[in-house]
This record gives sequence, C-alpha cells and structure tokens, in this order.
Amino acid sequence: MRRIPPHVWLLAPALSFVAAMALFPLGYSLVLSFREWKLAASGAPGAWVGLANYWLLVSDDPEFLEALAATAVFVAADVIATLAIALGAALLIKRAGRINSLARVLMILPFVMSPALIGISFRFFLNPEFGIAHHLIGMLVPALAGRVWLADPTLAMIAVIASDVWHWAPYMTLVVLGGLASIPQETEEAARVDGASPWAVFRDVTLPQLLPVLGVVAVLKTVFALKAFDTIYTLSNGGPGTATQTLAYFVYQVAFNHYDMGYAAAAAYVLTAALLVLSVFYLRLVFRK
Amino acid sequence: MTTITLSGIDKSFGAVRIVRDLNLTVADREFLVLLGPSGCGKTTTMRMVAGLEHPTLGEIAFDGVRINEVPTQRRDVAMVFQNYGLYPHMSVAQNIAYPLKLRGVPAAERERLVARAAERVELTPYLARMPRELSGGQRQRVALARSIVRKPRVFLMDEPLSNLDAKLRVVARAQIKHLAQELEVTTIYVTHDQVEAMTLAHRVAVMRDGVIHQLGAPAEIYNDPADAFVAGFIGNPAMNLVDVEAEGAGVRAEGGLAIALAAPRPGRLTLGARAEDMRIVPASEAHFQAPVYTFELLGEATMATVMVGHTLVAIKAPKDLRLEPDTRIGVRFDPARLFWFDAASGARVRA
Repeated sequence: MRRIPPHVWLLAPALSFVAAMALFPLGYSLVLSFREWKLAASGAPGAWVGLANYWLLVSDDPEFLEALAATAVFVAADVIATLAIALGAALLIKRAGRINSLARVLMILPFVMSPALIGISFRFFLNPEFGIAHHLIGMLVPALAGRVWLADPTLAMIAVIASDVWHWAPYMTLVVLGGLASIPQETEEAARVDGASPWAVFRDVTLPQLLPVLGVVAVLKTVFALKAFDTIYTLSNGGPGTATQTLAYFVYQVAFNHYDMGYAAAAAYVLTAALLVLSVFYLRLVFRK
Repeated sequence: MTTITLSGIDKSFGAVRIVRDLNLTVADREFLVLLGPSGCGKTTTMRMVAGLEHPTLGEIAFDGVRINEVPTQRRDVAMVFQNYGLYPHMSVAQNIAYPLKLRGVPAAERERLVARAAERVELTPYLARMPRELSGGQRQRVALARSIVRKPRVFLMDEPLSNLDAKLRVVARAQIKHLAQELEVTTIYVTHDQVEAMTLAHRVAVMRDGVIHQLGAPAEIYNDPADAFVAGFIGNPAMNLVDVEAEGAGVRAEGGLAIALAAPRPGRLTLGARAEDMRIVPASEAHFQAPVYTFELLGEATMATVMVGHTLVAIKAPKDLRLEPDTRIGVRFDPARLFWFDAASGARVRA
C-alpha cells in the first residue's frame, strides 16, 4: 500500500473547502446554464437545452442588453473616477506630515465599512426631505435643487457610482501611495536637476514608474466594479426602472425574483467570462518579471 | 564660468542643526571637495547648492547673484547622485538625452551630443540598453554622461564612486579627473574618502558636525593640519595621535611611557606624527622605546606598530626590515614633522 505524503493531508482541508465553496458552484452553474430550471415549477433542474439560454440572452432580451450597457457605464466611470481620485489624493498626501499621516489612517475607514451600509447611508444622504447631500448639492448647484436623485436615471447612476468610488478610492489611494513610495527619490531629484518643471517630473519620471501600480489598481477596480452588488441593492435597487441594473444585479433578479435558474446561470457565466479574462490579465501584471 | 558663494549658511532639520554658519567661496572652474565623515553636513551643503534643500539661514549666490529662491530646474546645475538616479524606464540614450530634451534641443543635435557624451565615458556600445541591464560601473558612467551632455554652470557630485568596487574606483576616479580638466566647469565633489579628496581636488574643505575645520589645497591639509580632527582624518594610515602630559624637559604618555621631546607648552597635549615621519633607531638615538605590537609587510614598505599608553602608533620602516612581536625598539620622530594639539579642543598648538 502506498503511503499518502503528509503535505496532501495538510492541504486537504483547505482544498476541500475551496472545492465546496468555489469550484463546485462554478462547475454546477456552468451545467445549469445549459439546462432549463424554473424554480417556481420544479425543485430540480429540468431539460437540457444546449445553448438556448445564451442565445436568448443576446437575441431576445432587451433587459439583458440594457444591463450590459449599464455595466459598461458603471464600470468605466467607476474605474476612471477611482483612479483619478486615488492618484490625486496620493500625490497630495505623499509628503510626510502630521495631517497627512492622519489622513492616511482615516483612509482605511470607508474601506472597512460594509458596502450594504454604504448604500443605505447614501440613500439617506440623498433623501429629498432630510438628506444632507441632497440639500448641499442643491445649494451648490441650483439646477439640481429639488431633483429627486434616486428617481432620475442619470442622477441615480451617478449616485451609485459615487458610493462605490467613495468606498474604494481611499483604499486605492493607499495602494498608489505604496507605489509612489517605491519610486527612488533620486530619479525625481535627478529630473529636477536636469531642468524638469514639477509637471515634467511627474509626466516623464513619476508617472511612467507608477504605471504598473496604476495598472494593478485599474484591473482590480474593474473586477470589483463588475461584481458590485450590495451597494446597488441597498442604494437604488437597480432603479429607477432598470437604470442602475448592472449585470450582477440582473443575475440576482433573474435568479431570485424570476426563479429562472438556468437562464440566470447563463447570464452569470457571461460575467464570469469577463472576470476570468481580467483575472488572467491581473496575474500577468502582478507576476511578470 | 561660475563662482559659488555660500554666506552664513545654516541648515536644521527639526531640532538637528546639520550645517552651522558655513562660509565658502568656490572659485570659477575650481574643483572643490567637501570631505568628512557621514553626517557631517557635506551632502546637505551640496544639495543646498542644487536647490534640493533650502538653507534655514544664509545666502547662496552664483556669480554674486542670490539664488536661494531660484528652483532647482532653473539653476542650470548638473549632478551625479550616489545611487546615480537613472530613469529606469528610459534607455541609456534617452537618459543622457533627457536634459537636452527639456531644453528643446532638436532631435538631430540631441543625437549628436548624446553620441559625443557617450563616447567620452566609453558607453557607445550600450546606448540602446536599459539601466537595469548595466553593471554598477556602467550605470555610474551613464550618470556622468547625463551630467556632461550639456555645459552646466556647476557640477555637483555626491559620492559618485562609493558604490563601485575598489579597482573600478581607481579607474573611474582618473576618468572624473580627466573630464573635470577638460570641461573646466566649477565643481563641488562630496566624499568621505580622503584619497579621492587628495587626488581630485584643487582645494579640500574638511567638515565635521556642520563646520568646515580646514579649507586648503590637498598638500596644505596633509602637511599643515589645522587641528587634530583634520590630522587624524587625512592620510593612510591616519596620523598617529597620542595624548601626553608635558613633564619637566619631556612628555609622558598615558600609562607612564616617557618621550624625550620638548613640548611647546605645559599641560595636556596631543602629539601627532605620521607613520612615514618616524624611524626605528638604536636605543641611544631614540625619543622613546616600546615593544613591537604587530609587524606587517606592505610590499613597498613595512609597518611596525607599538603601543604608546593606550594608543597604537604605526611606524613606516624599510621593506627589508623584519621584526618579531615583543622585540623592544627605539623610535625617533622627525622634529620638523611633528604636530602638537590641545588635548581638550584639538586645536593646533604651534611651537
């Protein structure tokens, strides 16, 4: 009888946990995406339908296509805003100082808050009767005074993006700060001596050396934005109508409001495919020599 | 064509005073070396000339014009950093060309100047490489080429040789000296290595604790040190410094050893003599006698070390001499090459 080496035993609990919690759902949902399963009608998956679920998604479901469009808007705006704010804030507080180190500590707060709580908080902030943000924005931008944020498709999308940026930008600022700290100070000083203005130092020396870190931030944030659900659920509920219904929210709707598991699995796999591509991209970025 | 004047410069970082009331004029086309142990303020002084640090007090002027408020990029200085500060995302050619690019030099002219600078430091075969693909010596030469690709008002070099191995350092030192003679640009060179200072400088400023202890030509600093610190810092081996007490006609070292030398004044003094200014002689001619502590062969000479009081004293001797440890030897000073310092302040006491 062959002995099973100890490392197999030691790894077994972790591996079986990952298998049960990640690999099994991943495989099972792939199987489901090829079957029909209306949860309201049957407790078990029904007939095999091949690629019919996928075909229906792209050929005859305007709501899915709208969700795709909303996802594109949400992800693009979210990633760009997060990157810009993270980079700007990091440059602002990179120098040593009491206020800056306090800012760095406070940065962690939004990140450790529950996304659901953030969604609810933003919902309160934007409440037309007693929301503080609603009133402040109304005072600063008179055109927006009296508008009900979550009833307006564009404003609701802005609100959802803002809440997610608020959640993530501070953490990403810390990541960018780490990147800035790893740039040798001598290169920036050498550029100044060589005759570079502060803007030229940033453009020619700082930014190029920061690009790998910004790349990591962009890819990570794209992944997180694609998966965003809790904030959208608690803040806008995908509404008004389907204005802020992203792909992740659409999958939830189909699965747990329409009880159409096979169809939801197919939609989820569209999202999974995108995430898979991004993950490979991310790993390449992080582990390249 | 630039004279640098530092007047009453003070620099503090928080409560720490790094540079104290420093006054220094670097003449046009002079090669001045700031020499001192780490933490003496030499690099900070240079960085203030570059504009990378700002003096707490005092004025910095180029050709008599105050430049305290002129930002680094408009001072027209070139600097070689200790770790070179090469742009890691640019090729060697792009690194060297960057100062020209910033000045709007047309591409064709830029290429010509880069090729010339690269040739001067023998980098031509490496122009297409990235800095990470170069050895330490090659990187140092890229930094050098980047600083000589244009003609700056002032050259600043911050320990440019300290990251090279000993053999390469000698070659690079010669190269820097050659370039400096050829380019005729006012240069400030920072180092803690007294050999670099002696070989490169027109004048050396020996610094400690933010103060210049002595400013002078290398020979002057070597032959006529202003105080015990300078005497002990310059020379290889360092000057022998022995604490003594003047007593009657002679002096007595700590531990009681009598030395038959007349002190310039009574009290506690430090006696200084270089290894090459002492000789091993018969007991009848000796200023003092002591047993050999170690004996080393140097090749072109030998070095005998004896214990005087609590201090090791090195004596240079002819290359064919052989001594066993614990042999008692007589030592004679060259009276003309003897230095006396105040034991407490280190100030020179002239006979």
